[in-house]
Amino acid sequence: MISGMAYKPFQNSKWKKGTRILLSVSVWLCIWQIVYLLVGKDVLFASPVTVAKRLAALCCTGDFWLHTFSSLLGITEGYLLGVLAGILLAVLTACSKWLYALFQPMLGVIKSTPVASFIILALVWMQKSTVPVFISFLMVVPIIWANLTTGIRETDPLLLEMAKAYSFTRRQTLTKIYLPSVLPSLRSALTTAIGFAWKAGIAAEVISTPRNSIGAQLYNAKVYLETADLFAWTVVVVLLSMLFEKLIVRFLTDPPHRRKGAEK
Amino acid sequence: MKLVFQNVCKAFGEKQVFSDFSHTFVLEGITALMGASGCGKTTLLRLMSGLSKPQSGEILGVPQRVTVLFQEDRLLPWISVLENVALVCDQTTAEKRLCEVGLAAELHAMPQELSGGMRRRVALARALAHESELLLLDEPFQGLDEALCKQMLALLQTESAARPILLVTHDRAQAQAVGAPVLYLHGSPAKL
Repeated sequence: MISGMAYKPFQNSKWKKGTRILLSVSVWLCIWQIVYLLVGKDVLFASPVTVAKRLAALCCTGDFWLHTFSSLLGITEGYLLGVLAGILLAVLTACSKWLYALFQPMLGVIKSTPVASFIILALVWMQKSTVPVFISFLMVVPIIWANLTTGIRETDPLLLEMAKAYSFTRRQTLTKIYLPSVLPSLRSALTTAIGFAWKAGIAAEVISTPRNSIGAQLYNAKVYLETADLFAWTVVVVLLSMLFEKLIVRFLTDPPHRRKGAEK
Repeated sequence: MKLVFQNVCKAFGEKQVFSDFSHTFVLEGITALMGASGCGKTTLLRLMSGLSKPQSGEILGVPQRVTVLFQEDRLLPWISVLENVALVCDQTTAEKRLCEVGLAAELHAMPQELSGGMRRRVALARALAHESELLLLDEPFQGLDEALCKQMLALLQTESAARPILLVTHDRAQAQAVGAPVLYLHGSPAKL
């Protein structure tokens, strides 16, 4: 027995996970640096050091925060509206086969239409600043709808029959059976949709170039061949998208109703 | 309590489970229902509870509230044992019923943490906690050992003073233990 040493498996695994992530990031940074050295032209491919310096410089300007906050606001707005509309549509189409038949082709068309077509159409229909909101919304709705519809349809019919036999109220059936049943589908839909919202939203900003947006900065970086800026803004988008995904996962993991009872 | 089946027909695809089935069930205390697997015992319970409708014929005398203990436990896996039972009654009754089936120590456990026999007792506690005029139990003692079976039968005997119980079982000894009259379902289509 080793005295004075307490084995802490949780801390140990956390440390191992941290090391793995650090190692993985280091390897990819090395590959990035090697590619940069192979290309050998700053105009075509920026080095990680240059990008980090540019990012640090950008962070010190007020404009950086203004552009970032504006994009964040627009894309989040589109995302949240899309989530709400997707949930509403899923509930409606689960209740009525007619409504399902009505909406299913439309949502199928939205899923398969190139996002650029929608962006250009939206530019004709609405103000520049609204386009990223609308495009994020449009990308999110079919993802939430499809996943949630599957979740509702796959709710255990035996449990639903039990609810009927034991005279559950509508509220009980909804909160005790449907909601916990669809939660895994909803969680995966929300995390997938946030990535799509960011990608499509930024694409919409690049094409519509609204004032004070990350997309407009990406467009300017391309026009003026500021490759380091292009990389730095891309890093910002990737980090924000990842951060949002993590937040959603954190928010939806171990919901209180699952912890209840186990804690007592 | 009298439940009258008049010329009831019920089929699943090609299989005719009941054809022109007529019988008057006089249910008092505990009545046992026996028969070979697949002969239609569960279908009969579902017809009695109103969960299934006959394709033709009539069932008269079905009370407003009927409790069914299904062959499967059908517990909600995301809430505790106590919460599962408390969905059909108040908290105090739920605790009392769970104590009666010997699960006082497992009130806050999650269903998946329990053994098959324990889950079966939770389902039984939920059925007992649900207020109704008739209790239909489909093989309630699956996965229980002999001693527990005896305890649960004694519990049912007490309960049968308040409402009639129809007990589906494969074990004749269980019916004999509580002195219940036995109905035998046999044949295809089924008859008594």
